[in-house]
Amino acid sequence: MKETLNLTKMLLSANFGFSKMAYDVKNDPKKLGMPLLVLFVFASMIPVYVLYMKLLKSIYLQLFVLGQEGTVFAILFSGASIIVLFFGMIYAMSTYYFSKDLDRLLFLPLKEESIIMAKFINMIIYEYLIIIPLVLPAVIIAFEDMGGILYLIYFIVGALLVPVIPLSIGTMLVMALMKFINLEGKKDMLRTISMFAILIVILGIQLLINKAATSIPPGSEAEFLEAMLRNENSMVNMVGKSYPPAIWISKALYGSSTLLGAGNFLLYVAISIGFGAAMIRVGRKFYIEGYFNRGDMTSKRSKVDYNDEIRARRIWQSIFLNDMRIVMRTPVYLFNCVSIVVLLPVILIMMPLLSGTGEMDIFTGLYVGNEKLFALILIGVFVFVAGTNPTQSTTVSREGSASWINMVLPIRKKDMFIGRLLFPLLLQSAAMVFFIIGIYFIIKPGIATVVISFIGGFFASLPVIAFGLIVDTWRPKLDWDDPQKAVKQNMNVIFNMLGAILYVLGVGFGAYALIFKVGLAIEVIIAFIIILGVVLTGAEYKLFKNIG
Amino acid sequence: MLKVERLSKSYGSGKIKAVDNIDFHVKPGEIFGFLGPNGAGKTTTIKMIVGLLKPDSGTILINGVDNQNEVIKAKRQFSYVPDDHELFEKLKGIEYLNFLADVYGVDQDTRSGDMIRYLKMFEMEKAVNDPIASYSHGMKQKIVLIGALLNDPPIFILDEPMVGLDPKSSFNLKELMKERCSQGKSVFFSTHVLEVAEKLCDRVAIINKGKIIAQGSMEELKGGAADKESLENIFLELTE
Ligand SMILES: Nc1ncnc2c1ncn2[C@@H]1O[C@H](COP(=O)(O)OP(=O)(O)OP(=O)(O)O)[C@@H](O)[C@H]1O
Ligand SMILES: [Mg+2]
Repeated sequence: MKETLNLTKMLLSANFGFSKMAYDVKNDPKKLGMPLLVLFVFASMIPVYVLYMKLLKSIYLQLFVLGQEGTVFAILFSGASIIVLFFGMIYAMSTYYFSKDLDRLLFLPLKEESIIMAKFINMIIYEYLIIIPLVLPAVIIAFEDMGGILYLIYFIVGALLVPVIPLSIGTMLVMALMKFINLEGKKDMLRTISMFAILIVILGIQLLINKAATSIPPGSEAEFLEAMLRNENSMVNMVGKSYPPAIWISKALYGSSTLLGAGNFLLYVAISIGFGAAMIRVGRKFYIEGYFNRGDMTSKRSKVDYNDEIRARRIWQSIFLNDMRIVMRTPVYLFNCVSIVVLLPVILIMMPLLSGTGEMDIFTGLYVGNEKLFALILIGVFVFVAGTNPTQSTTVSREGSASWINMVLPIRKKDMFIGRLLFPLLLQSAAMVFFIIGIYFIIKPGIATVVISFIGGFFASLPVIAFGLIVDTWRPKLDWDDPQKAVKQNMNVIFNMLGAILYVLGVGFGAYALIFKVGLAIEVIIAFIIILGVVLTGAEYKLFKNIG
Repeated sequence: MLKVERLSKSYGSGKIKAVDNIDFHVKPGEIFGFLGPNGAGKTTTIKMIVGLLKPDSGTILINGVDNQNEVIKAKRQFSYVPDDHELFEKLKGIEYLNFLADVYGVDQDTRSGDMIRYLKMFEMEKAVNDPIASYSHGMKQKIVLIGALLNDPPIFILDEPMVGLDPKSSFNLKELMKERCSQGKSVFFSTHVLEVAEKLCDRVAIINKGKIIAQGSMEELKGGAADKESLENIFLELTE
């Protein structure tokens, strides 16, 4: 156990990089700017958080009136668990397989369990960054009605255990995936794809169960309401159906003073521990072995066909090719940069399939007669999608210690600018196309809407993508030992996202005022947005030329 | 060819003075060795020359081009081989070489000829089709070297080029250096291996704690002393 804890501590400090930060700040006080900036970014999210707390409070009050206040826990705990499960697989993949620290640990006399557990605890602590802020308000809101020492203990233990079950499931799935999907050559690619397939299946099952659990058979609404009012907190069972542990912890919380509460609490803890133990067993069997047959480079050692392989290209083409190859061949980058493009439309397509066609008619009804406004809103969504994609905002960072190459080569800024913009633009275009295809499952937009929103979306995303490129050229994160840090722990991604949000909001308010107050035609606004995109990108290019 | 004047650089807000007001001049057709103990400031100097670090003060003229003012033009005057061989691990060797040739603007015919010649010379023909991540240290170094050789600029800058190369490759590299010099181009490289410096270099500079403490041809360094002192002894005395 001591070994595990030591290892955990070491991994944590390596991952969060506090010691390096402290060293940097001590040696060069100017470096303090960065942590302060991070703090500022978090501080700027406080209003959103306050809004969240208010929303939660009002939900709670409404549920309270119905005698269903325990449901708030079921909603939060099952929601949090699904989030953990979803991201957990990706985390597990990178923590256990794509991070290189095992190379530095395996030759030490450490027990396998210690390594597995230390990494697991590390992931759990990461998850707390999301889970704790998500569930914390509930304990305060409901404290007046349910408060007590036991309630507090149940809540703290319950919240701390939230990631255990979903992360265990995710880790076990990933370990099995690594062990059994093992095709020569395209291993990394194949595993990445299978992981997405599993994620989509999980998401689908979740949604299906949710739908089955929450839909009320037509005609029996009255009986349903009556049953709900008769039995206190009966809704907990309904909401938590897709994730039973959420039911147990909810029952424990609202019944914290009863024996039944204690029983449910013990059940929750026991099952969590059970899953954790199962994970360790599976890990012992599969992990190290899977690690060894991770993507060893296929070495062909075959002579090149010089006529075929030696080919002159334009400089910007060559830069673009490099950028794309690095992303497509590094699984972590593939998840983070390309996955959004695929996942978004899948979710869109699944929505109507799951919730039945009836409700979707509403959207079609809304669309008809508001085609132009719809195109405008779609453009806004596209810009947001562009801003959340980390491809452009990590393009230099991804090169890491190899970035010296592009720095010493005589590459004109123009070639660099074009070459590095191309791949993110390509992804953005693909995302827009898929997105539009996804929308076809919900409404049937006309061809004019499709074309206008695509062209508008392209030019409106241009400055956002260029902004990400500029931020990452200006302050790339190069000193990583593990490729995932270049993307996952890179503030440039957040800056790019914030920039995109500000841009969308700014242009959105402007458009709103011009359309509804001044009375300008939407076509004019869209034309203006396209011109603005081009002009802004031109200005950004000027800025780019002056960096470094 | 390469003219460095009053060059200084310190790290960590001026606490560590890595390079302290140094001057030297590499002439056309010359192999110039840059010697000094660990931490003397060799890599720091070279990084300033190639544009990976900004000098605190001083000027660097590469083939007459100031590398702070005319950045791109200055970068066209040299190729560079660093001391560590960090590369785009996911690219194949051949893809990396093609990229460099594109950037240096090498046309199709020249690049085929040169690539084939150097790949053969450094025995990298078989490996060049594999991802760089699968290379050994020495192989990575060779691919960097070949990449740098695809360009044929006036000056060739290398940081510790012999470390990690097998005997045959390091012999080939030395021959290539001489070949370039006979064409009137210059080579500037840092090294710890004094025998190499003694045999290969027309002139050397010895740097210690950021300052150049001796500079000149072998003869000059030996000060015409009758007893044929070796470079090793001079080095050890000077860097005491
Ligand atoms: N990134 C850095 N931050 C702080 N100090 C540095 C950094 N890089 C080098 N130094 C310091 O600058 C001085 C010169 O280092 P440099 O790398 O130039 O030496 P070198 O002559 O190349 O040594 P070696 O023979 O070991 O390669 C050393 O004191 C070193 O500690
Ligand atoms: Mg050095």
